[in-house]
Amino acid sequence: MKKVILLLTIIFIIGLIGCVNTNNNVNSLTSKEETEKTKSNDKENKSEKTVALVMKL
Amino acid sequence: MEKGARKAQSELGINLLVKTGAKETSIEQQIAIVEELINEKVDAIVIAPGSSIDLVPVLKKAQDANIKIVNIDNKLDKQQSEKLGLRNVPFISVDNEKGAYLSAKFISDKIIKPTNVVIIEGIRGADNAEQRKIGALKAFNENKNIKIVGSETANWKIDEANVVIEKIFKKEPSIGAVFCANDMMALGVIEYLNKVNKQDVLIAGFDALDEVKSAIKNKKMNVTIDQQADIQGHTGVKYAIDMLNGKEVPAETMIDAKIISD
Repeated sequence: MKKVILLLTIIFIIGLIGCVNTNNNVNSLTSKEETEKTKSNDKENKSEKTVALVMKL
Repeated sequence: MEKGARKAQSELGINLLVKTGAKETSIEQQIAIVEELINEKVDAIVIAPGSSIDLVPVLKKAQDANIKIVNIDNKLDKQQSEKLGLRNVPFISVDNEKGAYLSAKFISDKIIKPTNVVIIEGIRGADNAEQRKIGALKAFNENKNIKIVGSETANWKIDEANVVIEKIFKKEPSIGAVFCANDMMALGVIEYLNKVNKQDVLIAGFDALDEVKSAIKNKKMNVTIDQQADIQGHTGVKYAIDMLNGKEVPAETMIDAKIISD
């Protein structure tokens, strides 16, 4: 009986670790996507263009 | 020109860099400035080229680097631009031929007896110089009392104009009127006439420099043309931003020439 409980506990812990890892990966992916999105928005929103006026004296 | 460009800067909320060649004729310096702007990766260049031909290669290089180009004041040479593939460059300027015609016509209208006149040209081959010569010739040829006894270049320069006009007067002392394709050369002519104490020569210029406006007030000169450079600068910057935003702009925009006279 004790062996069965120990086995179930181990399976539960392994499952728990698996869930946490998956969640981390999802978070990591979301964070990466958000960074890319921000970069893209930054480029689109760049309002300050630089214009040079070249004159003669 | 800068004043108008600065106005556009504040209206449009952009960064504006203003670069000027040390002299009107410093073409190599302008080429170096454009090279520098390519390296700085500016978004657009609004240029009043000192030469219609020599600036084309470096501007093509800038266009290849995805920099928008707007041409103001002096027109880039069409053939050279086509040859090197410089395309879609809007041009904003005053009508140089019309402006020169108005300036020369002003002094021509004062000539009612047979008179020898001279044209002092800008850099030969520069589009604005050629257009101004055409305009002055047109005005003078309309007056039967006028005989054009000389047409020489002083390359836009005050000192050169001073030397050129001296040579012309030594060869032909009875000159009654001089059209100068820009005000700097007109100032060179005035300097010579003051030196030899000749007060009865009609003088026309082009550019409306402050020194020339004073000379007109002081009866040392008769007329000049205001190119409304501030409007050219403003429109140039505005077109540059429109192009960067993917909008279409007119291929050619002519600003009205304003006459300033005694």
